[in-house]
Amino acid sequence: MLVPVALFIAIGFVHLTLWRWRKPQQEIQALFALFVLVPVLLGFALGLATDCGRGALTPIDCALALLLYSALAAAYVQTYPALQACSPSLYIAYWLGSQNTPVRETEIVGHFVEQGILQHRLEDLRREGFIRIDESTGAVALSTKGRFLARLFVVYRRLIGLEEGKG
Amino acid sequence: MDAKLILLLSLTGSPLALVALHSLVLRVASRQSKNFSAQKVTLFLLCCLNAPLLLVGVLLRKNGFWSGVDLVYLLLVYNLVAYSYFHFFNMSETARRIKILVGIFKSRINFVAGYEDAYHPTDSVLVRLERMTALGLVRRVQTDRYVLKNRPFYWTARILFYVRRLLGFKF
Repeated sequence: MLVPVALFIAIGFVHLTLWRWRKPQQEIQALFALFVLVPVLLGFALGLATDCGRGALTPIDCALALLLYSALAAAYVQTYPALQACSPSLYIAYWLGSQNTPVRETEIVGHFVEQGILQHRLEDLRREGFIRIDESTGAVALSTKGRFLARLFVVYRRLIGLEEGKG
Repeated sequence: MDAKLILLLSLTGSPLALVALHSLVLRVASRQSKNFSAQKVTLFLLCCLNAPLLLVGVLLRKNGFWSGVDLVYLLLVYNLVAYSYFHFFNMSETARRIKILVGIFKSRINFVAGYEDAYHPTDSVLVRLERMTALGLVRRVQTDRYVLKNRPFYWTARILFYVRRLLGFKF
């Protein structure tokens, strides 16, 4: 149980160093590669080269270790968009928690509109390669992965019996 | 069957089982009340599922199939999976970028200019305040003012903003 936790912490440090040094243009893809692809390939190679399947560790032990690592990585990767996009709900909690008196609704709304925190998401999506924007006409279109993601959420909402989220 | 194999199979299948159970519970909840909080129901469901897992784990441990470490492992991985699932659900419910992608997918947003019409920042903040009130995170006072109700949520926000700064983002 300790190895996957240690690996997750080590990858976390690499992530922190890389992001502080130079934030990648396509953050989500880089994060996915760093937290998922690299450790899985590394773990697989090390597992084959060392204990796994030779008696000290059974393939089930290796799979359980991989599962724990994947669960840790998934939890972080899922938290990251809220960190990166400065989640408005967290911002509201932080703001209200720092105040001694109740805050007016109009003040909260005004703050977000003024800061532009809720805008510029189109640019994020374009940078991440989920959408394409035609500079001359201003037309927006989904890329293949953007279409996949949109469809995934549409199907998911239908599956759980809910209407589209209100944003 | 090997106890570890049971652990592996049950945890690997847990995300699919979660979606199926979640879907069922939400459908029942929507029949009971039109104005239910889907986030509250989801959170409640995910927390409640710890109980049967704990029960099964304790029984397996008592019968000598599992060690204490297996039990801790089960609860740790389940809660991490549940946390990720809750985030995924939340993204489908509140994420701005997902809303835009779905908007383009359904041809509601065709041009950059149309984005502003389809997505009002004011509505977005109001929807969030409404949800946070339903979840008991904030409280509405004096008809148009809000105070924080859930202190741990404030500390979670502080920690996340600290991590955000560590990663080199501007506050």
